[in-house]
Amino acid sequence: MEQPPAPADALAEIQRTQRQAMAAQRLPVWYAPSVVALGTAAAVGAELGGTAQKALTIAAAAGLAALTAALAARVRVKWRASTWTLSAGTRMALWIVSVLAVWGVVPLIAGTATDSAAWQKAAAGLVTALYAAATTRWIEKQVQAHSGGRVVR
Amino acid sequence: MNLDPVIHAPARLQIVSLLAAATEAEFAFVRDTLEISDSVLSKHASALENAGYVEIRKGHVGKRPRTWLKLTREGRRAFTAYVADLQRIVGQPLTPPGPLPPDSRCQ
Repeated sequence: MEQPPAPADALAEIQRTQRQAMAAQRLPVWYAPSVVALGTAAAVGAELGGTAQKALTIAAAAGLAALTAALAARVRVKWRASTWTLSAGTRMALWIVSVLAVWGVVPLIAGTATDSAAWQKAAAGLVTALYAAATTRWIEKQVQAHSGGRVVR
Repeated sequence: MNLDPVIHAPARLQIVSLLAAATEAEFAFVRDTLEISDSVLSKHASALENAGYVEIRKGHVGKRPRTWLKLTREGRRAFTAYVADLQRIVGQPLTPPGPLPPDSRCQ
């Protein structure tokens, strides 16, 4: 039979368990790029107008609903808001701002190569999706590093 | 100071610690994260449920059956008190510094 831990060991074990559990739940790498792709589809549709706009907007909305459902089906743990620290929240917010900044800046750069707004937005979507995919795990590690070390009650 | 015996057992301490950070966690997630078997988790989850500390909810995601665990309000209160007790013990020396008074020896 296992012996009860000493008080200091018990406190350390609580922190270790909570950090380990937080590291175990990860956002799928495809999620952020997929959201960007659907947003891009709607943005390109807006440039095309008419039937294409309606079709792409409806497809983007349906895709977003499907993504949300897929993510909800994969969720294995729902964390309390208290697991977030100001530092972790700030980092996550800055990452989201950086994704939006890439999405906003790329059309300006693409504008030097093409006058087509639809192609500019498509290029922005592609670059932003790649950026989001490449940095998802990095931001997760940042958030985990700045959320851990506390005993969440 | 008496630490809550329901929580102060290695496996149950891990389970309650994980659940304290969550509003709800899937049975399989707790099992995989803590690297314990189904039967061990079932046994301890039942003990925690009997103590009124954990609520076990069975449901479905699509066609797949899922079991969810969450701390009850009483369980969260007990864990908070448990952590406070630990911190009090760790914050204070376990034995008073300096020589013990003669009447406290051999007790």
